[in-house]
Amino acid sequence: MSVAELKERHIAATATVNSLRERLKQRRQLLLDTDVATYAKSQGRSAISFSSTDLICCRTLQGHTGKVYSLDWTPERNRIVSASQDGRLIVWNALTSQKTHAIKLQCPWVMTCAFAPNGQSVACGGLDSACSIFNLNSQVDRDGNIPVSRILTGHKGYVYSCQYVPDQETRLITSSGDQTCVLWDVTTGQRISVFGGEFPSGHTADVLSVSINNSNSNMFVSGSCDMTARLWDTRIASRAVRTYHGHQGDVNTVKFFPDGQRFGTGSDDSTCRLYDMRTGHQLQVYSQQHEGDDNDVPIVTSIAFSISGRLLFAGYSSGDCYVWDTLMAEVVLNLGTFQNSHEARISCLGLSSDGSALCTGSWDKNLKIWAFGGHRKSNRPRPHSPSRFFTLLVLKAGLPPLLFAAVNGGSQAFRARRQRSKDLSEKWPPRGDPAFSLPRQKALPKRRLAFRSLPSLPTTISIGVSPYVGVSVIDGVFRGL
Amino acid sequence: MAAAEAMEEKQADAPPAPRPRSPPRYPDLCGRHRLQAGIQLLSREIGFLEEELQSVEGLQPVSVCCKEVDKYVGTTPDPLIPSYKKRHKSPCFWRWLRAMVCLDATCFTGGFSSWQNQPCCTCRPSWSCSSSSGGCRSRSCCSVSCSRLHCVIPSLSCPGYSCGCVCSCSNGTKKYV
Repeated sequence: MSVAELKERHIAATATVNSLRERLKQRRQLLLDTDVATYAKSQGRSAISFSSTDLICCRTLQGHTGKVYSLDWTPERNRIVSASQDGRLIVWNALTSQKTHAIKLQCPWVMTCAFAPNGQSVACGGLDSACSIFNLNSQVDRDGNIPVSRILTGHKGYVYSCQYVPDQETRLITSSGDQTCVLWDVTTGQRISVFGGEFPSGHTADVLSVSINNSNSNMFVSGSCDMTARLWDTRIASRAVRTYHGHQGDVNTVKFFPDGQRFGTGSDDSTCRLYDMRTGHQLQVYSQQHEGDDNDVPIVTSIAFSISGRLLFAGYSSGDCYVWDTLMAEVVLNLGTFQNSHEARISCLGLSSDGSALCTGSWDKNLKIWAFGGHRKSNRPRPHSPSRFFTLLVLKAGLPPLLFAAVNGGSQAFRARRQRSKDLSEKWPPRGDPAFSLPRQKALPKRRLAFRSLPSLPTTISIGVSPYVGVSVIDGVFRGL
Repeated sequence: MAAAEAMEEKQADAPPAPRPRSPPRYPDLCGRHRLQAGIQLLSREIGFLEEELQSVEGLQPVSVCCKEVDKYVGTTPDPLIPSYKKRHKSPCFWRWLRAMVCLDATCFTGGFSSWQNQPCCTCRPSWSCSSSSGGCRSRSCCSVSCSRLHCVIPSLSCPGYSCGCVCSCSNGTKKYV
């Protein structure tokens, strides 16, 4: 066949593809009889109402000397790993704000980090086009640095996002500027599957984010600069299962909905969208009117869903962090308006595995932890997360107060101490220090302590709070026994 | 004039100005391969799109998905969401109220002595505080008149309601017996 004929066929095929896409769009439009907000309103739902002290910033993690680009929680034990432009990964104890590890990276241009499911390893990737794995238990070298235990090479572009496959210590998925996602075997360092690329149908631009389905770890979604999100089956690398259109700009972030049947996306077009995984329908658009000219429209950098899915946290380049009511499609809170909120773009955010705390990372070099500081109808540990909620039992007042905390049915003694107003990041606290610091929270209103007796310790008074908020220390004396 | 004529002669004698030749018509292999690969990709894409068009035919509408989302969100508890329920009256108030009303006082069965022996009892009204069943133990309390029933607020040692008659004494001092 001559080149001229080939060119004609190419043009005809392109026209066919475009017309099929148009027909598909129209067919889907016919099925779009409602959206989540309209349906919820028809059921008489009303938006969640937050008071000013319901969600509070209860920890500020200071220590990075560069912009924070990425963070990840452990599946348990409330630790966070963060990656920063200063070329370090820092592992934090979220409850005490202490740093447990600081890892100096060979390539300082890190863009993503992730915790392994067992919490013993962390992975990171960036402009070096490779993914480095560090074992937190390994011996430090002469300079006091943790050596890299494995480097996963093979990408032809920068690594923008990575996530371990849940419950599998040895598998990791990365997304890259070379338009592919790759599933790795961490123990051998080999690529198991490549999703996308030149021949198989995949993204046609840089892939910026991945999210693996917690209910079915064979499925993951990826978001890309080609304005689409794609669903992949790790067992079928040859093609994407489904492509989700709708966004008008780069899809910066994707995150599965807690039920594992839907997922959310955040984009440069300043909107978040909720898609149904199985049908491909776009269920809801979350967008806010912005004042000012079009050049200043903030982009969505990261999203996370609360554990019930009712709240969608979205970080923006303006430093705002909108809390969307997913059912009503309304902004119910803006964490960016708080007095102690971030001062620059929010680059990453993530929810703890028990859903009791949100961590945000920002270009202002800090991370902040937000938790519920208001009243709650039940302080009992919830059956699906028995290890997260614990109650503080004040047995002895005085300075420093002695606390007993019931954790997972056992009990542990803590000696509380006041948190310093300045975080002395040069001083590394000893590892394994169980001290539980109670920050001075003047913003919290003085309130009576709730009384509830536990069957194991009938003479104590318990204060039901989330592990992050702790107890208010007012005037240096506990209010209680 | 002569110079100009010389120039013209030179120009006539000089060989013709070089005219660059157009490149030879080799077959454009790179372009051909690229086009063939592109057509193959597009054919695959057409196949996928036709499959998707067929699958969309039998798809459920968006409202079904919205219902599933609504149901899931409504049934899952969330530690970050405030739940301001109507507050129950505080236990102290209820205790005080019950103390004042004192609806139940079976502790009077057998008189004061039994009440003394059984300080923890339910509070039941009993208006028959007969003098024969006992009297005030205390010396200063010389007469018994069940003028008013009074219930003691439960304490840690006695979590039930304790009720008894108020002794009215000649010297005007009232004491509990």
